[in-house]
Amino acid sequence: MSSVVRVFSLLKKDITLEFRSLYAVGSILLYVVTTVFIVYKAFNTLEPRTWNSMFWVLFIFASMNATLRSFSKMSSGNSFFNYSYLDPSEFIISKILFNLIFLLLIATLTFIVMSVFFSHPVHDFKLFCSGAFMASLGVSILCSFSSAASTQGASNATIMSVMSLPLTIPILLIAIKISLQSMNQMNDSTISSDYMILGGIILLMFGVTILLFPYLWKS
Amino acid sequence: MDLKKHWYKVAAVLILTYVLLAGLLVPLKPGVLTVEPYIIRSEAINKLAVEGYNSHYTSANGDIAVWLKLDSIQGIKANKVTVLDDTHLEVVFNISQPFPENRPTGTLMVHNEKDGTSLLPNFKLSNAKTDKTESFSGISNSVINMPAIFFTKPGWQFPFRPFLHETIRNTFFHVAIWMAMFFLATVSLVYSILELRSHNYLTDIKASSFTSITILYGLIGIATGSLWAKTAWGVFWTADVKLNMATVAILIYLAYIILRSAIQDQDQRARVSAAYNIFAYIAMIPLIFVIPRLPNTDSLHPGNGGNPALGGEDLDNALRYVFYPSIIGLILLGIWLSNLRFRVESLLNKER
Repeated sequence: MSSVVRVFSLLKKDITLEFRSLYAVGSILLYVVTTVFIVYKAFNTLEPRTWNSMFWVLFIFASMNATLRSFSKMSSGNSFFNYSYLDPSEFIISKILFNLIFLLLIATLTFIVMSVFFSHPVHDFKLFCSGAFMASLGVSILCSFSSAASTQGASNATIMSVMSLPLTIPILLIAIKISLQSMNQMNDSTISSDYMILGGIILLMFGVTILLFPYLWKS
Repeated sequence: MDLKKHWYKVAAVLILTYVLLAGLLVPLKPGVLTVEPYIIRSEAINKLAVEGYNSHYTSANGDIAVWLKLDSIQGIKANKVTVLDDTHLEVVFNISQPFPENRPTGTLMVHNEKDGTSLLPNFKLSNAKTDKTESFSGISNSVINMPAIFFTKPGWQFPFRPFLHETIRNTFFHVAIWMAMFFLATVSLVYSILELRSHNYLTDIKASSFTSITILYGLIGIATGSLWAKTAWGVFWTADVKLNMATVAILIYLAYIILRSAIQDQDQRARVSAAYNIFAYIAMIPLIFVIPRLPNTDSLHPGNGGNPALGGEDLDNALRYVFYPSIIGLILLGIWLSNLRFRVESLLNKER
């Protein structure tokens, strides 16, 4: 069995487990609708710039909540099985992919719910979607890493957000810039260099995560 | 006392004493502080009040020559220079012909044998007429090739730069402390890698003590930068990409301290915080070295948009004699502080 097949079977297992209860999707839907509704009651109407910043703030906190449990739901017997049968890098890649799917779901849900309450200001959908995808990928790598680290330690939700929030800032800053560009809010001809930087940061963080994860999951 | 073990502390004290004394006592080169008005009009009599800094106009040997430099070779000599006192001059330029259209600014040069030549760049040239100025249509000094009399005052003095003035001394503290901070962060990274390889709890404590001094240096770096910004830009904080990224880097390292305090088990704490430290260091590289250098990033901070920075002619040799020792001294002091912190933490660990 090649490692790609193993990664995908791990991913399939995670998805089956998660969607069997509908707890995950339901809680995220509720979270997104509630927060957007609070924003709606607070603002009533949103300028494109405010729309953009609210979208990313809601997105980042929803994704913190969602990815927090990606390692904590493993029982000790389960993790012993993982430890003895699986390769750590395959394991973390499957987790990253799973979190990526989850974050894309969150981004889509947030976008749809926000578009229902406020009309959306996006002009260039291709640019917006690619920016959101890159940001989701980066945040998913970061959250998988810090979730693994925080589960090892105190398994404390605060620790994870303390660890990952400062690390997500560069990714979010560039993603915000890209999505502002997609709303025609700024005229920037250097958007391709932003993509390069974002891709570089993501690759760097992916490499470090693969390198460090074996040390984190031994306990 | 065993000198072999403590040499770096002695060196730190000596070097930092030298840096403080030289950095604060060596005078600035003579320069031109202000000129009122900051504009020269063509076809008019221009009376300029020049205020010098560290200059000796009354005791200068020979004439004081004031030139308006138009390009790299040509200039106009002032018609009359009156010395009011050591730091004040009254200069008259009688200009009859209009300036070339492609020359919006020139450089004002004040020269005497004792002080050397002082420059004031970006001096505005105008062809527009106003009612206030005395119009002049007589014969003025014509634009000629400038004589090769100009030199800067010899001796060990820091350069006089417009807007920075005396605050240029902050280079030895603000810039040097960021460099020392980066060195300490690297040492901490090395200890974290060693910790992941060897699982020795002492390397973990070493890494954490170096990180705490890294954070201390970072905070001092931000504080000195903020004070400098107040005098150079007029505000303590601007929405500047370098400032914001430096803050994010400090936040990432503060998260490291919080992470450590949250984990009780010693082995787990060592492993998790070592992994996080490596991650934080690598995340810091794009923050500090890549994002601020992106094209189209507006920044007042040196190194962006034509602002002076390290390297090239901006770092004068006179500054180098203090700046490089300052980096070394601050690094040695940082190692000393980290070792003290290490001893306290390892004692606390023994008690537990």
